[in-house]
Amino acid sequence: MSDATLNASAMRRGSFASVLPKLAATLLMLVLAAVWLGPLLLIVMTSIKSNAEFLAGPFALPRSPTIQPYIDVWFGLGFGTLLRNSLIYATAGSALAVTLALVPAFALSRMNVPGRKWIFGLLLTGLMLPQQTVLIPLYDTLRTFHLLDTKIGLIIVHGVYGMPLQVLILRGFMTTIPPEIEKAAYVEGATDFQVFWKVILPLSVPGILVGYTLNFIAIWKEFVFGLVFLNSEENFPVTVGMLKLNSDRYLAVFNLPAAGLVISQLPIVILFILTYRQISGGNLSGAVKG
Amino acid sequence: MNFKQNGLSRRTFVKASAALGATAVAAASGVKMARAAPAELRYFYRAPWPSSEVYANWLIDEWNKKNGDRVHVTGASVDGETYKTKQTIELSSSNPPDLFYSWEGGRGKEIVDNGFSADLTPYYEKYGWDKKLNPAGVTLSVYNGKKHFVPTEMCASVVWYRKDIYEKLGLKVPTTWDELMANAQKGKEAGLAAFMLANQKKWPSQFMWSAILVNKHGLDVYDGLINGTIPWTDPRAVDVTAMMQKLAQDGMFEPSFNSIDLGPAMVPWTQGHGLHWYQGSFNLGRFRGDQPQCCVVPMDFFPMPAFPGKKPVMSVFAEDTIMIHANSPNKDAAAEFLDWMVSDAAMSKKLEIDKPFPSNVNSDLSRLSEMEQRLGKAMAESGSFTFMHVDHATPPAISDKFLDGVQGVLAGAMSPEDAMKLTEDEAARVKKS
Amino acid sequence: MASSASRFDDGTFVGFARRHVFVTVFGVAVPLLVFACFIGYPIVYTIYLSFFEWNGMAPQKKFVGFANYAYLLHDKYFYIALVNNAKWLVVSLVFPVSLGFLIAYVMKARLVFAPSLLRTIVFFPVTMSLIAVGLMFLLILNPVFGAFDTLLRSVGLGFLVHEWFGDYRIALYTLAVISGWAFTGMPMIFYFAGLGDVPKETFDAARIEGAGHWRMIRSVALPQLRPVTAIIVMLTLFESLRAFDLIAVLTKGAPFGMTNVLGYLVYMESFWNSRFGYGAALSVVILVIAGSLAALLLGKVLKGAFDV
Repeated sequence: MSDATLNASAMRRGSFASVLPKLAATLLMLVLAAVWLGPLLLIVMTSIKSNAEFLAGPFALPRSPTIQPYIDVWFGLGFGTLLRNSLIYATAGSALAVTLALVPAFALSRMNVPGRKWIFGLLLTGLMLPQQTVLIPLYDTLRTFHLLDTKIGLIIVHGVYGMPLQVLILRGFMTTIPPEIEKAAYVEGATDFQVFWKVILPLSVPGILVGYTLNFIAIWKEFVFGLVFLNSEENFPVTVGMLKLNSDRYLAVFNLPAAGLVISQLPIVILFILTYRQISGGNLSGAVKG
Repeated sequence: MNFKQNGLSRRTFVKASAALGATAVAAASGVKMARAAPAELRYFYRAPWPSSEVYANWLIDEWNKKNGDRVHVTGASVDGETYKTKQTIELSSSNPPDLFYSWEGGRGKEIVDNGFSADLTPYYEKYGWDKKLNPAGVTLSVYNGKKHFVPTEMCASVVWYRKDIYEKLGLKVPTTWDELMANAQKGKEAGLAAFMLANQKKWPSQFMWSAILVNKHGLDVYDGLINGTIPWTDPRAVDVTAMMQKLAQDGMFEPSFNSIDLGPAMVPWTQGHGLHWYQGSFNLGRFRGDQPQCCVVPMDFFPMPAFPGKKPVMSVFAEDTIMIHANSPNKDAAAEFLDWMVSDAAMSKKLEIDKPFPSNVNSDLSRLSEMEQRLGKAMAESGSFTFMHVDHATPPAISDKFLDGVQGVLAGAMSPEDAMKLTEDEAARVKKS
Repeated sequence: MASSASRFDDGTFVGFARRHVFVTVFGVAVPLLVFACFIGYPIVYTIYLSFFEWNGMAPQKKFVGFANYAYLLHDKYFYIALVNNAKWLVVSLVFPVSLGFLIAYVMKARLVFAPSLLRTIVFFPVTMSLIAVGLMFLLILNPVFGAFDTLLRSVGLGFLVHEWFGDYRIALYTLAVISGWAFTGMPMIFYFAGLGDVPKETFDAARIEGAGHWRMIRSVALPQLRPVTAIIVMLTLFESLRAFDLIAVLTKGAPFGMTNVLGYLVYMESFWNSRFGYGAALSVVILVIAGSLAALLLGKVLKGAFDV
């Protein structure tokens, strides 16, 4: 790790010179933290105030905090169902995306597949495509397979559209694995599948976790597919349900949309706490290697 | 990298994701449950307000309680503004909704022209709907001589004003445009926004625009613009746009009119920062706030006052209109459900749960405030001599450019001529295709 | 590049496929099949549709040749959107990407106290749906009761108060900055991870030569991070060309189309104005722009960053 080394370059020049940049940087970062944390805190605060209190002063601490907005918006929008659905889409959709991407990533990183540049380039177009472009034809495809307004249908769409980024991440990760390891396996007569399953896959777990988490977040945030391919409210994910908060009826009451926002973020906060170390630590580094 | 740790976490991870996947599949497959015999109707509605949702649920539940074994209705809704994306895809799909919300006017015409809307004229006769529905609403439902929708909610656009501030400033309800302008000037001098405007989503400004045009230059001119017989670059249309520009330049509107939406604009309105507000009666939901009756602040309305030598025309239009899909296998059952929707009982319930005004003129308005009752009566009596605002009347593509133009003019970034040219170019493009 | 299995290959795909059935089926055929159904077909269909006039509802589409593309060439809205996309991309590269790098460097160099807390805070918005982000900033930047204007006024910066969404000169930048706010965490963690991989010796060598932080960044960190930059720039490019959610929630292109970007224009023209053929032509333009910029980036500027 280079942390200490980086800092040492500054340390070398005596104590004042080393403390000054650190102070300046810390100050700067405090400002940044305020920029990022401020809006979130404000929303949490707004969500437990009455509207009159909000209008009296948006920054004032709540005098008589209430959870009524949470209750109202929870039942008003049916957050129980929405959250359950989003969890289903995000867990299953990302699992599908990663599963689909594993072997291609293996092939593109460890083998000389003829035409691999073309295959890789083709998969990348999936990343460039604006979703609103594909709605009509994709709707056709889903209708053909009788997958409209089904959870399975949306899971498949999310899985397929998550795949290109997963191939990119996993391929990068797998290239960092030293070739000697699998060479030994091939010498012992292992098949491609055995090398993939017993050697590469276990070594790729950190990369898979990173990819899975990023994909989970992406599906959690998505709303266009859900909006167009689903009809029944019992299938709606949180984002589609939340669109109702973007009507001016809700926007005139402040605390309800704020409470809705907080609720919609809760599961991801939990996931975030559980996996943040994985994605922000060294595990990502393999994934971004060329 | 630590290999041991990886081996361990892989197992945990694989197990965990297998479990999650299994849960997902189980939950997903449980949804599609077979239901027995009755005719299935799908009702696709728009729910711009929480109360619309509550009312629609009540409507469907009541129906299913009584007729569920024979005709079973399932509803689906999305919020107002994203509705259209879904509607376009749904209507042309092989399994379209049997009943669906549609906009009147230009958008309705697109749907009719593409053959998705069943002719409801026979049902109008069978159930006698034109006897109980608002005449303006029934007139609007006619496309090519046939009735294509049933209006379920009617609206009127009027000038709302703050009664208390009028009293405080010693103002009288104006009967002419000049008197209105004089009152506005007094309001402005008292430090108020003479007219509230919440134009962030750009449609609200057209309310005043079309009301001024109809009242100043006549309904026939307006109809000419809508039908394409008079170009939008006509001096009379430019004149009205220039009047709006002048109002903006003179500081007659709420100062941040281009960046607030209607909901947030209720804040300055209730705080007494605005004097007038030309808007539709669908705003009564906002004006009521949490109270059962209008209004949170003392207010009343008057129709857009007359211009010299003209008889004032009030805009009465349908805010909620239901069509039956032409390819629905259960049109008769759908019509029966429609009849339930406009029945006296259902419409009175609508008043109780949702906002006014029901399209059924027999509905009991007595639970409304005196002012709302007065407005409801005026709407029922307005007859069919009326108009829709631009975004209802024209196809969406034209009204979108029109609204952009007016917004550009109000922001001081476009000349009235350019704004009308923008609209006319778009109208020509639409006509060509 | 790894090529341990290549000793059997004769260089043709058939030869490869015979020897590597598992990889060919699950690594090439299955993903390509799925891709063809759900991504390939929509792309081909979009190209096909761009030669037609269709309102999204009629059973027949009318063939119009290149008319949609011809119209596009003198459509003012198209150019506004195109320029807005360029502005959006520049803001995204300057604000979230550079700032993300800076935060990552500052943290990696242990220049601040409690670096992991800051990292967590900045990363958090990445997990928020843009609908949530949009709703949040609608409340905060509201001209009537918004907290941000109140804050500016209370610290004596009242002259900075603008109509953040209403003023056509700045509305687009407001949107781009909000999107940057939500996106900064992404480049930050990528750079953070990338910095962890730069060999210790490289920094040591620079340190011995007496390099300060500025030179460290310029001559050591950035060159070493080229592959990371390649991924981030590509993702930023694609994201900015696809920008849609925030505009749909916050402005819908208002005031008067000045916040339209191509992604939103596609939606407007297709679903709102019922011109699916024209919308498809716009989509094709987005694809062509994205594809050629990506090819240019990979082929020239970031050559070798992602050798396959």
